[in-house]
Amino acid sequence: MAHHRSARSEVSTLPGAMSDDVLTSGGESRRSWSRIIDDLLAMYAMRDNWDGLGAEAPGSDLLRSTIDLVCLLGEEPEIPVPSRIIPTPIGTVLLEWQIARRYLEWEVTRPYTAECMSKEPGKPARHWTFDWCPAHTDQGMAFEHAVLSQPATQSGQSIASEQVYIAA
Amino acid sequence: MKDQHEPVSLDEYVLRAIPNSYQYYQANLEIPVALAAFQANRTRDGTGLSVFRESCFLDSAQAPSIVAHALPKRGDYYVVRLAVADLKLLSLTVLPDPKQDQPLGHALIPELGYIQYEKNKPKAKEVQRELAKLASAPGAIRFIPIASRQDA
Repeated sequence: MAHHRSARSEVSTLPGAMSDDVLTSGGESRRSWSRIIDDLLAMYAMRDNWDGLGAEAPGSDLLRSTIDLVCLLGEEPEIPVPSRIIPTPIGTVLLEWQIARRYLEWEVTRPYTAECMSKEPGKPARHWTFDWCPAHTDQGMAFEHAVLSQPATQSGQSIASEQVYIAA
Repeated sequence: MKDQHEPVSLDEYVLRAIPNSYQYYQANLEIPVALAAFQANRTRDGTGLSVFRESCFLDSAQAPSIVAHALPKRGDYYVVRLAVADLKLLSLTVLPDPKQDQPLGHALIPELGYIQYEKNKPKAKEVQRELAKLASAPGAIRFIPIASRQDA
């Protein structure tokens, strides 16, 4: 099935998406998907007020769903490894790509939902939401793009939504 | 040196503390400072994002270090310096907000408070990105945590 085009299309069109050499411009050398998973696993140990300024720690459900998302993205060879993955002060998790002056972020704001933004030089930012489902099926990983309700919008307008299922 | 109750003028600079954790600063990126460094906290930053006015310190060169060490994690923050004039270009304002439990010169950027963030997240994120770029510009980082000085 090739219905997960929207997920792939947003991330894999980052210039140099398939090149580890180029990826080094967006993060440490040969940063791997497994390192991203390690970073997420480490976040399970976080507690509220981790910055001393009252920041919220991400919940375990949100982290679980983020790991599912990372597994989903990591299955695609043309999707580059995020440049950085961080918890935010409001208990969400931010995946960020910075490659060749293009910026992309997916913020997992609640379990299985990410609010996304991309920005390219000279163009307005684009915003959309992205939903996926738990990776609990027993018939292997396949992604089914179910809904693409609207095209992505610019700021100030309603945010488009789409859903991706990890399904048999 | 300005009184911290005085209105903020366009020729001032403000300081913002950034956690020294979870790659909030990653030197080898084009924009090393993460957008989340300008994300309002849900409970503490409801009406505005906290910054500190450099002009309220007797020795402005020491202000970043003083701010970093006055915050709860005692020096374990990066501190960036932003021009109020640059903030104005992003349609941001800085209001004095002196508080006894905060370092000198505490002020708020109301447009970046959590309430405003919730009202228009896409716009807020775009502003956060611009701030991250300003904070990543050469010379903007004025205090580096001791544990990170070799990396940065």
